[in-house]
Amino acid sequence: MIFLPLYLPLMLYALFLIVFSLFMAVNIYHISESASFTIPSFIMTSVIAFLTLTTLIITIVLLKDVNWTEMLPLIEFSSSNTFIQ
Amino acid sequence: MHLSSLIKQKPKELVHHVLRRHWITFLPRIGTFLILFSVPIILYLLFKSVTPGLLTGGFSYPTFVLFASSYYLSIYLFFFAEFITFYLDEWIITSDRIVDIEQLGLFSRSVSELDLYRIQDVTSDIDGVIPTFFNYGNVTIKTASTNAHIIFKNIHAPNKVRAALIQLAQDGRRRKNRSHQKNKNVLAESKNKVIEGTIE
Repeated sequence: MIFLPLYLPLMLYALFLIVFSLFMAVNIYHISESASFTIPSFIMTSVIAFLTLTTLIITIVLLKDVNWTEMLPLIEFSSSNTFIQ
Repeated sequence: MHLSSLIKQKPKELVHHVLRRHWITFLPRIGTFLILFSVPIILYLLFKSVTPGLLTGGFSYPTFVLFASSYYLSIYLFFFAEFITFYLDEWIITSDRIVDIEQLGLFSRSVSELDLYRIQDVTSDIDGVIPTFFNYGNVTIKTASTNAHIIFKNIHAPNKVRAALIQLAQDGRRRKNRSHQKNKNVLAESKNKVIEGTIE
């Protein structure tokens, strides 16, 4: 039987968030670098910021009861079958 | 950063137009974003009805939530990057020159300049039903050199911009001729002074 710590996907997610923040910073840097602080760019940046915050809040709310220290069996080998739990 | 520092504006140079693509050309990207946005919702409803137990497991539930969250954040990022590529393509027409700024991707940008007095030919074209209805199209600017030309892509009112460019190019040529004549006179004057000095 293979056990997988539940915090592993959480760590991968944290890594993804770091990359996401870097790319977002590059996007905002481009807006400032090209003198494009206009109403359309402000609206678009606000919409993206709002969607990002909403998604992060929903993620936190949905996962607040999860016990991340738990070790879960990923694949159970048996004589008859192999399954993902 | 201000526009004047972006183009390194000269003391007497005036910015006449700042042009960007017409907003309607961004609509297909918004459509793609909305389709991508609805995919996880459809998949969730599908899984819920076919295999209700799959998304409630101790491992599958948090993994699914984290995956869906990453997916949504990724599409926001790609959508924002698409907007940047779309919106940061701009053409600045000043009293002296045209500055063509093209955002080719998140890490690729090209800036080129063309002096107005060098313009030889300006063509505007509006092609298709939607461009005709919303009055947008391309303006192609050519110079005597075969490889130097700038295209304003999908800008609003291309015919108006073409007329304004022709006028500005004529003004530019007139100014150039005047300064050329002035330089010639100064040179002739100094030449005469040198000759007079040699005779004396």
